[in-house]
Amino acid sequence: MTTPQRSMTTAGPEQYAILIIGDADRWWTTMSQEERSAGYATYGRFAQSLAARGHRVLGGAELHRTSEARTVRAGGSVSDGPFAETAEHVGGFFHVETRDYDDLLDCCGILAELGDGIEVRRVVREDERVR
Amino acid sequence: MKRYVFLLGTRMGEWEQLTPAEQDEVYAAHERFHAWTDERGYRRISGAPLEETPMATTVRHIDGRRVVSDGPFVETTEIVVGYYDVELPDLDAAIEAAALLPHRYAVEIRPVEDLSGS
Repeated sequence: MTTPQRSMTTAGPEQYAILIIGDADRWWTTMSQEERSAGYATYGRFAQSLAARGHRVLGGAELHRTSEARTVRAGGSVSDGPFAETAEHVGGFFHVETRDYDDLLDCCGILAELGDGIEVRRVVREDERVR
Repeated sequence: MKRYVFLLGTRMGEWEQLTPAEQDEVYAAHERFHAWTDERGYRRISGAPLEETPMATTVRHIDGRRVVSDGPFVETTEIVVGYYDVELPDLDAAIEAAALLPHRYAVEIRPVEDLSGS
């Protein structure tokens, strides 16, 4: 399968979701206060880089531990925990608009320093929806 | 008011397999969710539909080196295809709201960490 052309440097602005995926619960379980402080400082550095390099933050959130998650399944039944049966979960996300996808990925390298996988997904534009 | 993020999960590639009528039902369910929150004055802070994972890029650090790769971080058959960030009174309301979203999705309800006091 060929990889679609992704460089957005000269194109119009596109929106992306940056999903922070890993052992999301460690912030409340195994990380020390010092490690948490250093972690939040890394997130601060990421936010500063986005602002300084022209990437606009449209939304985002830090999610609570997965034991507080509930999932409404297809069909309507409600269960405890996240929907995916994996050890790695979304712990937080950013919703960003940018004209420079490659530079956005470069900024995401800052978050990756904390050991999580940083998955960057393009947001579907209104005109791309099949109606 | 509390804040919840809804992560919408479904099977990879499902969207293309839906008939136009089924796709319309998905859109209609989103509209019912929007109307439900609007009628009650609950704020939708942000939200977005996401492209499927063949269009994902993952950045990670391995042995101190930055590694950028195509594709999602976790190889699973169920993927996140969208999200809503909403203010709701409690978990019961969150479950009621999540049940309005397309029944083809699993909706993961995650309380948001309040950092305003830290």
